[in-house]
Amino acid sequence: MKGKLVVSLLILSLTTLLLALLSPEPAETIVRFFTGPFRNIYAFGSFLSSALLLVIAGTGISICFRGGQFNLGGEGQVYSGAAASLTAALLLPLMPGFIAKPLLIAAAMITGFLIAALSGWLRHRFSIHELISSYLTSGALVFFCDFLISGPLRDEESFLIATQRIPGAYTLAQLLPPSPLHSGIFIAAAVAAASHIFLHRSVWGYRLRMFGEQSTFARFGGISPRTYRIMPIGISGALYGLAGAVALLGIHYRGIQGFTAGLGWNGIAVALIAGTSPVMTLYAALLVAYIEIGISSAMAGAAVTYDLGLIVRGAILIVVTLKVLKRKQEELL
Amino acid sequence: MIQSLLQYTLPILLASFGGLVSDLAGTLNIALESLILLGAFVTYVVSIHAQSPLAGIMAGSLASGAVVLVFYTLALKGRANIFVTGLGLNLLIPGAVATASSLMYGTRGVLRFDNFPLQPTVLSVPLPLLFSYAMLACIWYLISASSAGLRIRAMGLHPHVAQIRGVSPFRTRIAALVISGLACGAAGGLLVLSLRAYVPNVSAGRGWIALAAIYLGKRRPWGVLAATVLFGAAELAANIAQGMFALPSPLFMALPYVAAVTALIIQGLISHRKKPS
Repeated sequence: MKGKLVVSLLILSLTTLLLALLSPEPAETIVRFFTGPFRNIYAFGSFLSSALLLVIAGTGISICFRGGQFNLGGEGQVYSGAAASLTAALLLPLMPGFIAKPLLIAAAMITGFLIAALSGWLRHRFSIHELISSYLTSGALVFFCDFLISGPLRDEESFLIATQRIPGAYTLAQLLPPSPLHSGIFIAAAVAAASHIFLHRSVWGYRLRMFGEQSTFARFGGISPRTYRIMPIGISGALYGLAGAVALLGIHYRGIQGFTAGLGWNGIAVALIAGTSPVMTLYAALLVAYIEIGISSAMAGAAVTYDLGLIVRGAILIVVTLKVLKRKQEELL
Repeated sequence: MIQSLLQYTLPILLASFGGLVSDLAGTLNIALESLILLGAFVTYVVSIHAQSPLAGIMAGSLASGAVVLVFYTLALKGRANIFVTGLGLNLLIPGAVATASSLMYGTRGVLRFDNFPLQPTVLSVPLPLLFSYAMLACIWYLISASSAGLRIRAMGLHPHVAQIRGVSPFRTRIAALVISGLACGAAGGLLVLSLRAYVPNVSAGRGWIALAAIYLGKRRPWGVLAATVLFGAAELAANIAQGMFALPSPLFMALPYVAAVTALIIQGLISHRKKPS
């Protein structure tokens, strides 16, 4: 816990420093950074709705890490999940919402699972490191989804590079209008709870953790290496896909080019800050969402907002695994 | 034809050789992609200020090397996970470069050379190109024929044994990583000088392709050379095809990634035909 506090404070002070350096009026910018998410209902709802996406994405990556694997394909998996959901929503005949929603979410999760599982299988079958194969497949898929949204699915009448809206019956209920907070928050809570039960109360979770810590020992214990090379990264892919679907059905309601960008990397940041426990995932997701919303309200309109977000995300990853900052039991990697 | 093949291959080859050195030391540098970008930007800036492409590419190379030195020293000394550090650099550097571009030139977009500085030549080979060849030759010599190369390999294969034999883990690894930074910086410089402009995201996945080439080449210099020629040829072919068929541009940008994954799978099929891991 102390280690996480040190990491959090370090990240917050780094961000503040960067904002002060890049802003023409440092004092005002810093005040806006810290008060940003609480400025009004809309900002607060945006803060919670990005945090809930990060809970889903971060939980998946935590499971992947516990299984001893590294999934760098988050960007492509979130985007492809969202695109699968979107394609199904726009092309299938109109259905009642209670049938459509689970179907669209399942489409996204299966898509994410298959993409990530491919990397796990390549690692098992051909010893190709999943770090590289997951990034490369994701790189290709990001451009493919850009193509879908800017080409075949594009709404010609829109000024944005965007598709038509999905039918109103398919969207997740808004909880705090006019803010984007939506009922996906229950999905995020269910994911966090289910993953805790899976990892710590089920035999599969036990095997997964054992395989992650000592794959040779696990193999002697009769644990199938194929299953446990595919399962952890596959689960993270499925949850990335789910995050993509929730972003579509809960926030954007239509495909916009690059609309899920950043979620993949932030999921990794959340999992690394959180270490292992689901409770900590909630904390880490809130922290990362706070920083993202804080930056965008502090630098509103400035051209460097996006770049600053990148710099802060990078800085988080660079400091978060430094062992000098944490005690031994908090080590994840 | 051969000249354009060379032009497409050389940056990937440089980055790949750099990555190979870091991989042999047991600390694969996955930040190649962003180090190419940094080298490209610094090359642009210095080429203009010094009116010398050679000074530009050297500065670009040094800049990437210096960034690697600072951040990976932090990572190794702080016992951080070096993949996560590399990933952090891959996010941080593009953000920092775009910010620097906005602050210095007022744009995050394409930066052109108003009048391209003269490229001095030796026997009609431009000096920056000569610099890159020299760097390639040095790396090749280092990994295949020098005692320093042996120490690097030993550190990657059996760190404990190497340590007992008096090889310093920190110094060996940071040296290998800095070499990968220098090589990537030069690769970025070559891209900028051959495009005669700095384009955002000029690295366009080449750092990741270079990583794939290391695996495809089975971590041997000749193998890596062959793999990068293959990727260079694929890029050249894709560019020619783009001229003929006008593929939608996002699909065109996905091609290098598709090529890399396909190549890895085909190689896997060939070399693992019987034995599952």
